[in-house]
Amino acid sequence: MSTPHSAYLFVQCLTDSLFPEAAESMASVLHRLGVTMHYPPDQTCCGQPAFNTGYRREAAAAARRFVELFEAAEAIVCPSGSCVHMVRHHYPELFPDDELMRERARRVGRKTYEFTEYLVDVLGITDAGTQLGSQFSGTVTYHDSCHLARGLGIRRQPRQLLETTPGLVLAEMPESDRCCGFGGTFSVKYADISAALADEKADNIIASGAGTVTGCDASCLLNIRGSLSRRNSPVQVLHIAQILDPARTDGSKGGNQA
Amino acid sequence: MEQNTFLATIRSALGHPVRRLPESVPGLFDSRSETHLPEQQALLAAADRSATEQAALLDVLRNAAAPINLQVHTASSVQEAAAVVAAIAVETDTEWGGAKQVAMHDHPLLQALDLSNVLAPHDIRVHVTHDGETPEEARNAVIASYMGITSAEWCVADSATIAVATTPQQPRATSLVPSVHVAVIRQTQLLATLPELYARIALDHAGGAPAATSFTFISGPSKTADIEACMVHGAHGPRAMHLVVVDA
Amino acid sequence: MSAGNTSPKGYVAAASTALHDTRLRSALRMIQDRIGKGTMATWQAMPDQSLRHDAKAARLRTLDNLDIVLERLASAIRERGGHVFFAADAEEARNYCLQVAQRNNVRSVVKGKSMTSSEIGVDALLHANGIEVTETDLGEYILQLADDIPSHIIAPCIHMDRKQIAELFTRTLGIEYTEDPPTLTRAARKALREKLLNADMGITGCNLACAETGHIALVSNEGNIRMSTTMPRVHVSLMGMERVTATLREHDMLLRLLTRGAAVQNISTYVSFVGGPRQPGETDGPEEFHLVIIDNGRSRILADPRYREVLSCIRCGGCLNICPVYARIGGHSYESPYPGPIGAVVTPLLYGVNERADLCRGETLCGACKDICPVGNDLPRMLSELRHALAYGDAEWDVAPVSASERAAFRFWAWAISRRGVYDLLLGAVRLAQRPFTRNGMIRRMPFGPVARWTAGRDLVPVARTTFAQRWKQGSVPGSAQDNGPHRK
Repeated sequence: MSTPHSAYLFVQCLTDSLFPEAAESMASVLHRLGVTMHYPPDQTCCGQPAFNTGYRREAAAAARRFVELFEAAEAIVCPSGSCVHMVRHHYPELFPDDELMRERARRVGRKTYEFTEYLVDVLGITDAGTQLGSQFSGTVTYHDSCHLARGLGIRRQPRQLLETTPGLVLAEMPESDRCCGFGGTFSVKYADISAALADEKADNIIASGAGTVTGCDASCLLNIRGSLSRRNSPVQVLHIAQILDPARTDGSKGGNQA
Repeated sequence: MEQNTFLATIRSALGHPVRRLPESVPGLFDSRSETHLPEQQALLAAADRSATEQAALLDVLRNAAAPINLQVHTASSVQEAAAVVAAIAVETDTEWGGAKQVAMHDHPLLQALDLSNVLAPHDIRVHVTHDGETPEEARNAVIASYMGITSAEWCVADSATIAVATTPQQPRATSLVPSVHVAVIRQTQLLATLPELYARIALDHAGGAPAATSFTFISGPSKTADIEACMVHGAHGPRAMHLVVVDA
Repeated sequence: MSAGNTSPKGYVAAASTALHDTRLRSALRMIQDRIGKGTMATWQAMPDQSLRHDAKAARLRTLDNLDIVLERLASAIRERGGHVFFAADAEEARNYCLQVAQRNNVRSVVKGKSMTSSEIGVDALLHANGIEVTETDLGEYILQLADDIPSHIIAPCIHMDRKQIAELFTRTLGIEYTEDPPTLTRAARKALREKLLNADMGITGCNLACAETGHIALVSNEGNIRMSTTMPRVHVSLMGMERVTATLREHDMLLRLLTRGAAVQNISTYVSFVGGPRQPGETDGPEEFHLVIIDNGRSRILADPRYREVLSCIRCGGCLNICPVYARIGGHSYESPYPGPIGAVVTPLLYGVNERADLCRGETLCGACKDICPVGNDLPRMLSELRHALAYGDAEWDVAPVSASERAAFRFWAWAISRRGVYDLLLGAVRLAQRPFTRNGMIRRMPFGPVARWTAGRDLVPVARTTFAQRWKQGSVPGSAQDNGPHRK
């Protein structure tokens, strides 16, 4: 990296509370790359649960707060594709009658990046082994989360990082971009459909033969982990940042796997 | 409901308070409007093919025909084509019983096959569509026929599609009700793609020729996959279809 | 909306039942593997990548000028001696069909597969007036014999297996028991040939009319639609008012997309263009041709820029061939002539958003339907709009807020997430609440609260002892010690 980079960390609510190790690993990777980081301490949720359930006024309140907390950033980096999709694509829609706010939201959206996207497209990382110091031992399968793959078109970046991690063998699962069934409040409101889709996802993960499944969205990993755990599967679930982080602790500090 | 009221509802949905004339939207109804004319002229120019190019299309046709179970035959003369048709007629059994009868469109290429004489030794009767036929006669004839023979206006190679217009000489049921459909065309009638076919129809239409009231694109025999997605040929239309391409 | 032995029980209950239907699951799996994946591969391999985009633009242009387009279509058909009737709603449409039938002393009707016909409920009316109605698409015929309803747009009886069909045919057609699809098909072919050759009237839908030339176009593989439009004395075509293109050129684009989206076919076996009744000198085709152009709620969709896009749908059923939710709950769960993702948007708009609230909310918004749609309809966006309408109510669509308690919950949520201190207190409360239910780092079963639904089918990751925010503040995260607060610009 020729020029120093600075970034605000946007650690979406599920990562913050359920998978803090994933965000720690993200910070660890960025820190090693010399990225100056700031974590706005008042951040919580991007508003996605409200937006997807239809409560746009409440989502707009979250969006406004997000814009205020993050708009000074050079770049905003987030370990969750769906939240980035929310910020980039839906925030501007939340202010139909407020051109100024809409423009602020657009500006924030343009500099909000998903973690692997930031590494590959902004920092120009092409080799995780040499540039990040990543290493891993084992076979890994990758889940393409919906809003990341279809919404943001990010499929290549995470794979490139995984493929260039020494010791890691990437084994694609069947239908890697088929929805895991999470869907926000859908996962509770239509829980049996959601669980059925998570089960199919678990079948595909197991079919890949990999010992580890990874992805770029805590919400999908939560759902996948729930299904694998219910059937006592030995497949471990890790956020991609944990795989890439050379200082990974494997959740031995009492936190959660993914 | 009155047409005017219905259309007024649409206009109000679209935010147009008063009736609009087609002219208010230039090119709305013209496939050959200025925007698309170059594209269509290119399509039509491409359709002006040399014999070599037509022969190449024949290969494209065969490749497209195989997966849809359309049997393609070639013949270098009308006599040879007649022999091909006769062989199919002899080999094919009737599906619903009765004597073997063939229903045929009244078309110059088909008439040139002289099928009545070719098939007579095999005890196969040929019913040709003719002037003065009543609907009842035509209907009975086609229901009694195990094979229907038509020509076509055009044939699209890359989808193995023939386009057949309905006229008094070319009733609809001939390619539909009999158990086997045989189409005979000349190689010069081959087009490359569906867009070329549409461009032909649009050209005729723009030239003032009224588009036939009824015309049909046919690509292979009737089929269904409604039972456990198993492909079965012969749902309601012909169980088999043959296309004889005459290179003469 | 339902018929036969399937009485409406609501999306949630119907879906729950379907989730356990392994036969349905494997049938839909097969169709998604064969057709859905084939269609996606076709789109990716298409040399002309602008086709779908251009086709969508053409659809929207036609919709923007629908009044002019329909006027043109109607006058061209009338010029050839056809009749055109404009029906404001389902009742007008089905009554017109009955009048035409009665005026022509029709005793038997053959039908080509038409979702619009079930939308307007014409079968029951004809039947009640002593007219025999026979479905002629093989799948629809099987369902009619079984007193069942379709569950897929192009594979209507995909939920039935060959055993069921074999038993059905043995019972109703009196054939010897066989599970062989060709033999079963032949039995139906024979039975239906009688009906097709002797019916007085044919009723079909309309896949896509063309205003420039004045034709409706009907697409089929079986030939039943050609039969239904050729042999009977009268042909009535039922057309949703949006199913029209302005020009042949657009028709070309959309036909190519329709057959690829529906069945990965370059073209269907038959594409019939019908522009009127039998012409002078012709010996077959209907003596009378009627085109019924139906609004039935569509103009309301047309008027709303949020939903107008959905009228560009060409009903290929592609979205059913990729949707992960449809794959598990099947078509019957939607309780509509229009199942799957397209049904989830269209059904509430046609039959009531509140009444069909679960259709609006029962999807994951994964976006696969948008990817496969030949005209790129953004169904997830429209579902999101419908959910928005349900959240607060929407006077334009007579929608009432769906749940006061849910709304209160989201208000509280918005309040809580705007205060990190409150938010952290809530997380602390969850930590306490989850403790008794956590074993080996996972919540196996939560007996109460919304989480109970989650843990019915999956384990749940508990809230961690410390959040990332706390770890950052404590300075234990790499780089956190260097956090000098908000950057100044």
